[in-house]
Amino acid sequence: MNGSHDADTPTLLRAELAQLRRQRIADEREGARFDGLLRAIAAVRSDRDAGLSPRMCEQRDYLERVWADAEDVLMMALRVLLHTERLGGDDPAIARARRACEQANQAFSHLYEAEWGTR
Amino acid sequence: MGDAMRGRHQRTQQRRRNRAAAADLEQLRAQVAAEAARAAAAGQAAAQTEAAHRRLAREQAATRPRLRHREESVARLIARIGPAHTALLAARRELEAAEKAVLAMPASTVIDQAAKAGVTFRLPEVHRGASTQYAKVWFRKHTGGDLRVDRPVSVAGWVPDDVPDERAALVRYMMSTAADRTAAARVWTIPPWLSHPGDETDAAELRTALGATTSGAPHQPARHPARPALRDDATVTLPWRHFPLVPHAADATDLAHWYQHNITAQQWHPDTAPVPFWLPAEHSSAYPHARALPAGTDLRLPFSLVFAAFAAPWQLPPSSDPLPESLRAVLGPMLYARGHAADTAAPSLEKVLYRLQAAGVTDRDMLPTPLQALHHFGGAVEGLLLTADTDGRPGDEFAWCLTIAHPWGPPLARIAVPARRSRTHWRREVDAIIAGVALSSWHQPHILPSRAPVPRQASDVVDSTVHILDVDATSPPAARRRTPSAGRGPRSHLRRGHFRRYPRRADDPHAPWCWVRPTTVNGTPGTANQVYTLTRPNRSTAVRKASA
Repeated sequence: MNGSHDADTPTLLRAELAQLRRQRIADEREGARFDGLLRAIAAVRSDRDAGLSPRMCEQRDYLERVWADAEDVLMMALRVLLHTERLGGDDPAIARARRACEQANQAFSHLYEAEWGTR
Repeated sequence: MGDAMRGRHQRTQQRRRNRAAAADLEQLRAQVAAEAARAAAAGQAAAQTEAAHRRLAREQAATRPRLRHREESVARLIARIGPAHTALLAARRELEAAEKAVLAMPASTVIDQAAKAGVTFRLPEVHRGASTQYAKVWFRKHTGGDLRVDRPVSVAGWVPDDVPDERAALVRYMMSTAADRTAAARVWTIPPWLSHPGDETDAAELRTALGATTSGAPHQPARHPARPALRDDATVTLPWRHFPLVPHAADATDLAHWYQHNITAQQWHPDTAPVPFWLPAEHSSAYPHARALPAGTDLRLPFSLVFAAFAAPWQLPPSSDPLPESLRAVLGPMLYARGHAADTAAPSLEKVLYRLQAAGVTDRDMLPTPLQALHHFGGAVEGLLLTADTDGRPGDEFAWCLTIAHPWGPPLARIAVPARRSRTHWRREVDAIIAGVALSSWHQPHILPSRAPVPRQASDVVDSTVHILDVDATSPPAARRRTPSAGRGPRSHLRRGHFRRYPRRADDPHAPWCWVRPTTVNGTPGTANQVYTLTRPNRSTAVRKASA
């Protein structure tokens, strides 16, 4: 009886050792993520306090594109306006350029109204 | 005899085997014990990680409702802007077509005038690779006029007087941009579409109200301190680029960069790098309203030069004076010379002067100085540069970090105006921000809002030097918040925000300071993110101060 128990003990101990090792390796792997998680928690909190979320990042990108387009149109309108003022005259091309500047001006009014409620 | 010997030998062998087995067993037990200890430590670390997972989930859950209001507000703005954006794109298509039609007009004067107006044009019938000489000959043959490919540009007033009037010397300045980190970049301290203040007499009222101590013009430095580069993924890539409609704490780094450039050129604390502190929109607007602190409150700033950046810049409205005709005449040229600022490279001085002078501004004195422009057009305070002594005690010196607005929308410039608290009309507001920086809690600066949608790993967050206000740590304990009950107590009124100590136990000398948010007592809560507007002093006060 005792002989049988003694014969099994090393086997049991080895199995126990292997099990402990497996568990330890898994736990160490999990534990290695701790620092990253702490930084992630800090990042979530600072994101929140800075008033920023993934959705707002997308919204920001969109609004920046709108503004870049607006600036582009503004500069183009100024250039065309300057050009038509220098040339003057009643040529249809000049008249069209003036109309285009007026259209840009109206688009700006709409944009300002949408953005700040007034120009 | 033989059997007895064999029996003894077997017993000896058996004893040896038993001893060896016992030793193995002992070793195994020791290994198991050691492994159990290591596994226990690893298990503890895993449990900590599990707790961190739960904390992260809680923080993320707490973030959603807090940001929902802001997200919805921006979503409504986007919905409003959508149709206007479509109209804008249609206008751009029409402008492109109109410009093409004008340039196709069969007249040599068109090309000449187009070039004068700064329009880039190409002769479609002439191959791109053809020489300029060939283009000139072709042009004369087909239009009878001379094709001019160079334009004279006046540099007087735009290039420093101490620069020799030689091509080699001028080229460095003419090709310089605002993004340069060389000595030539000083020509950009005040953008070319604004004039240099000769002395400290321009915009006297505003200058007095600000408590300005310098003219704002760049100095010729004895040496050029090393200037840090703008970060690779900067948004505010030019000093006249607009402030993002949805600000990001990282923007504070870009703003600090441009304002540092400006103060360095003015030789105001040129050897000190400002450390950015980011105030969320609610605090940017509420702090300047705050009740004054008890007399003798010991305030210490964490760095010798702090840049307090506002997520919601304070507004400085334009003066009520009518816009002078001379200014009205240069509104278009100023903006035309400024050009694009979003998503574009910095233009050279030559390019800007070309545009400015094509639009009729050939003398810099026709343009307003930065403070004159600020006085007439208004602007915004994006932050304050606060000084402190070696013990952190706030200094009297500080600098306004201002954007100058153009009446048609885009900002014209970012300037830093060195000033003194003891002189400014807005001392209360400046002192409130000093108190805010000194008494608030701040997130660790190495953590910056992430680029990843949901930060999970250390690599998802970006290293930075921006300190972000820690709202929870700066707020009073939740249990102490009181909800005002309608219909009882005093009449409805606004209770200003203020800092006060919250002792953790009786007679706690180190009780932490907390920010008590402004509230509407017995009334409807106000909007969280109202923009703070600086009220200009009335004229008689300004005159009294100026004469004092």
